[in-house]
Amino acid sequence: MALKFHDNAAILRGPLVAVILLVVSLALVTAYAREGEGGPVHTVQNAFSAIAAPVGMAGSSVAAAGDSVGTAIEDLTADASTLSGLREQNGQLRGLVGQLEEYRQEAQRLQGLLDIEDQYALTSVAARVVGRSSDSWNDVVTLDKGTADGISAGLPVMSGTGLVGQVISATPHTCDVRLLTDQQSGIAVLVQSSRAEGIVRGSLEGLLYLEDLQSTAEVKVGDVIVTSGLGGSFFRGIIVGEVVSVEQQAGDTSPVIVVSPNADASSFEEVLVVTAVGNAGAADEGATSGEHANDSASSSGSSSSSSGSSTSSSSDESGESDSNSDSDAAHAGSSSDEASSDGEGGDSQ
Amino acid sequence: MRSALLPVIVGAVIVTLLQIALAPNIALFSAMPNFMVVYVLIVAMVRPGASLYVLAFVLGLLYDLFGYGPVGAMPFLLILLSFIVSRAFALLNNDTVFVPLALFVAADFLLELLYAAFLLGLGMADSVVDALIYRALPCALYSTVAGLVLYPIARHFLATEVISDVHTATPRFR
Repeated sequence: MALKFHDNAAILRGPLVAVILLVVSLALVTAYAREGEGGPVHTVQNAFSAIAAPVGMAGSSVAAAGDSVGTAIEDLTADASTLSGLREQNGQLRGLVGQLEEYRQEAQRLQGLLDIEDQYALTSVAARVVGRSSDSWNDVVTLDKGTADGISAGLPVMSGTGLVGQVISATPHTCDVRLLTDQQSGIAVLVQSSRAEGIVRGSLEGLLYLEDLQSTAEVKVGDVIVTSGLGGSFFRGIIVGEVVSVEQQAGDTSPVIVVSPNADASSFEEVLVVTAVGNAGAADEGATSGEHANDSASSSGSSSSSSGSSTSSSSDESGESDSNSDSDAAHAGSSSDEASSDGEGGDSQ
Repeated sequence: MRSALLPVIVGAVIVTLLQIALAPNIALFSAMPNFMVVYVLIVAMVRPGASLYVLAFVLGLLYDLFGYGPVGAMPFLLILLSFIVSRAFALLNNDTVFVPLALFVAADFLLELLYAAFLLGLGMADSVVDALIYRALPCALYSTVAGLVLYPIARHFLATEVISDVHTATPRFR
């Protein structure tokens, strides 16, 4: 009898443990979903991501060393055709550099003609990418700067060519940045040429989609997309990317608009965390006078001359923002995590 | 008992480090292998028992904490799947590589799919089709490959007390 009881207890122990742990897991999910970004579960998760950063950095170093070894082997085994191909590529790049230098000087001259008071003066903290998300479902990178360097949740992050994401959490010496391409990312933007407001959302495919545009808005391939600053999550006028596809689906009222990010979200190593816009007055003025502020900010975000193309739209249009757009933009801010609650970006708008 | 659990614990530490340090650096088109899931599935096949569920819970929790997903989702799914896989393996095992392979594919895919469902339910994902095509399927395949590499190694170190443990955990399938 005693033996039978012992057997039954042993048989039941496994499933019993499983059921208890399942209940605990569900309780954790519920707590995670119900609490805010500053809740205890989120706090513990942020702490763990800070702990993981050095390990991830070590892994990145090993991977970089592996890449270097591979490149060295490729170089050693390069044949004549490879070398001639590289020489040709070098020639093309030299030509490109000369062309870009022309554009740079042209942009400097044009910028000097603009009213300098409307120009943003971005204050930023340079940081290095030390880790990437260890799960496939989130496009998040870890930077080596944190609250000790003045970084807080909600701040926009730029690479050398444009906006790449937004800080979602920060510890004293690290911070996590959700990239634009993440499916949970959402940014209030406007089309630079038509001033139409919308929201750029990331997706699992890695593409950016421009959504929630006014029904009358006209968007065409090549239009430059910049942040609108609505919703308080991002400073206004930071270049996001360029429209590469506008497709009207049968039976759908609004077209599917794909935006190519100006910054390559997968390969950057150093970034700038924008902590403040130095000339907030100019930014406010830009909200009503529109174009110049956005142009100058765009040209500071990117050395391309595309920012100079939008001086024809009216100031009324730029100042206009109907209630729907406002609420959408606010939603975008909230959907891109805790940015709006932090209020960092909004203060300077 | 403690010495029997030691290899399992060491393996858990190793896969945790692999997940944090290696997985992000070997991602292919945004898909990366889930070493923690793979390890739990291997343990479910070669060493089922009450400690399996604790391992699934702990590794799932670590996965969620080191990642950015909803905390609690992965432990829930891992416990559920380790239970199913341990029973299925006890029933189907014929000492060929086909059974572990089939279980890896099915379990990995099911897990990624259910995880996507969790994300959709919590409003952290938008499209079922996208989740299926761009994450669940490639991640499951990648994890399966990782599982096939790790399975013989882990089995060599872990499968010392398989028989007695299986009988205790799955008496009806003997």
